[in-house]
Amino acid sequence: VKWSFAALSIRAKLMTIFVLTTGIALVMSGLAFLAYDLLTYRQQRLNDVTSQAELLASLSAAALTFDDPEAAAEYLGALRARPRVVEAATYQAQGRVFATYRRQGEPAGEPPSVEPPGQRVERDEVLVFRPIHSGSDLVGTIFMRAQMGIAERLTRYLIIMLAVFAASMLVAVLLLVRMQVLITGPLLEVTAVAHGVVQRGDHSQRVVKRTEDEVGVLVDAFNQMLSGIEQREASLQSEIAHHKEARDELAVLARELEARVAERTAELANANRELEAFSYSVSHDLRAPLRSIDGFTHILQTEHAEKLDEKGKQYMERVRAATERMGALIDDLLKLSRSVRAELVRKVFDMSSLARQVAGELQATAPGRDVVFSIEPGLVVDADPALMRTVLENLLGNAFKFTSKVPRALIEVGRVQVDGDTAYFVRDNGTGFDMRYVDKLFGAFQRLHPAAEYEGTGIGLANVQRIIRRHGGRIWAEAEVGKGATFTFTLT
Amino acid sequence: MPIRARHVGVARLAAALAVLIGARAIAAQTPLERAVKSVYLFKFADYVEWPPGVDPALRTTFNIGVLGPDDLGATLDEAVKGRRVGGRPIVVRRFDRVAEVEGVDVLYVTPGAAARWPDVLAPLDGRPVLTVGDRSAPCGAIIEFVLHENKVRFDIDATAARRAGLKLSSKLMSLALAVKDGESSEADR
Repeated sequence: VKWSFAALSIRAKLMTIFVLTTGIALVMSGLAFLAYDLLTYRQQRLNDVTSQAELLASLSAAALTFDDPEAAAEYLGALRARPRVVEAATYQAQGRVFATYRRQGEPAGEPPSVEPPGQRVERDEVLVFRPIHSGSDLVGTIFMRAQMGIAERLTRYLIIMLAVFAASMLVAVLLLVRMQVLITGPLLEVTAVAHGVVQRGDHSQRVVKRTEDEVGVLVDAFNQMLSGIEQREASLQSEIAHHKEARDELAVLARELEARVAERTAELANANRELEAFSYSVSHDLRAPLRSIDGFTHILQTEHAEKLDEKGKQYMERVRAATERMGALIDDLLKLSRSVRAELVRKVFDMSSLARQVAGELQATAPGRDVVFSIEPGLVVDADPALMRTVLENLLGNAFKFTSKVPRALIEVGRVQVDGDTAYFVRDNGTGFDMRYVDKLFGAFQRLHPAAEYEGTGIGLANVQRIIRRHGGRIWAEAEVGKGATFTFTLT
Repeated sequence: MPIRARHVGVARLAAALAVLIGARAIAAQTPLERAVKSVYLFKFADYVEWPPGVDPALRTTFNIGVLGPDDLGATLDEAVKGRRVGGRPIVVRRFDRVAEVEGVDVLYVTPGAAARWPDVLAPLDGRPVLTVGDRSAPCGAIIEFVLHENKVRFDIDATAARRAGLKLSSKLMSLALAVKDGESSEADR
């Protein structure tokens, strides 16, 4: 893990900065003092040694003058009190060694040959040569070699400095440990509350302001922020509550509505069923008396014809025709109700061949008519074949019927694309109708033409529309009076 | 340059001393003795303080007197030639009788004179004159030469010096073979 100052806690940062600052200040001042001290010490040592040499020179002058080497040696012997002096010697004026001194423990040896007055430092030792005067006469030279003691002083100094450094650091750290609470304490309080806010979402807490510095400003800002959040949260909560209430109300309304719709649907379905059952049973029940009428009028016509005059026979004929029409009407009603109730059985089949069958059947009913059927081959559909037969019977039947007065009748069956969907059409060039009445076209029992002109029950197209709708498709018509009509439907 | 000239003189003298010491001269007043004593006579002056306010005649020259027949002769004249004491040129004056002694800073009483007049220095008592004699012929001088281990050394009579009003340097005292002070006679060497 890479060490990073930024990752440290404020406590550690403060500690680091404090220790670094104190340490650097101590070391710098220590080094400055050391440098100053060593320079001063060096000069002082040189002065010391030189003045000692001067003193000895002055003392030894008489001994040299009066040729008393013993006395000179005795003077030099006083250097025993100066353990830093390693060696000393006096020379006569012409350079001969007069008296010598060596520190106890030093190996024996001859002093160096005399040199001109001066001083130099060699390997932490100072070497001094001073002239010896007696009165105004030069009577000799004194030599002294003494340890500078710089290394020793340096060592001692460094030890003291280290001790001072350690003590200062200890005191500094102890002080810091006590004083950093003043800085980090308020910060830690803010941090603790911030943690509470983040982890528990508790915005009710506040930090106690203890200082007037930047942390104090931070505490104020933090508290204000918390108040703001708390207020906004409260208003948000009430808003949410409002929303929820409204939503609940809506849900209740929706449920009520649904229930009402379901109720109505059930009622409607029930009514429908009843209606269908009613119409079915009515149709059935109507058939029985109709059969009786038909049967008995037939018997009257066949077995009692001689008893009827021409007028009676004519009336009988009209009764029979009316009965037949009524039978057709009932049949259509039954079909209508069947097409609603029967189950839809889809199947892929060729509608073109079905159309041809129906066309053939229609032509067979009126062999004298000249009608051209143009049926597009390969109209494959997915639909209930039985119901589609009803559809084609009605549409083609209508076309056949309304072209009966046209000299060259043409009936087309084909396919077109309408709004991306495949649609099928049945077109004729017959009577057509007025588009104003197109809305009434698909209603049951609605007729656009007088029954005397074109026979029909007025139920067929209503039935067709139901079947198409049950397939999920739609049907519409376009026509112009005298120019024919087109019925188009889709199947899905 | 006078300083260099003096140095040369001292060196020459010391060379002569060395030669003479090497010759192991032991007889009284050998040439070595004479030479050493001649030099010492004015060298003592560096370690002696005379009282201020003495005879004005003494201020311009440093006067060495020699009393007695067997004076140091040419050796002394040679030794003092060109030398100065406290900036004053040295003048050597010879006396036959103590009564003639007048205006000297140092007076050397030769062994011959001392032997002739045992109380020769009595007239000079209390006068600021550094009297020098020989232990071999005592005459009550402040400094007495001694021949010790073939070297010319000296005794000092501190009492006599005080009587004469002279201050002798401790450096000089420490070189003395014996120092006589009051009734006690300290033989420290």
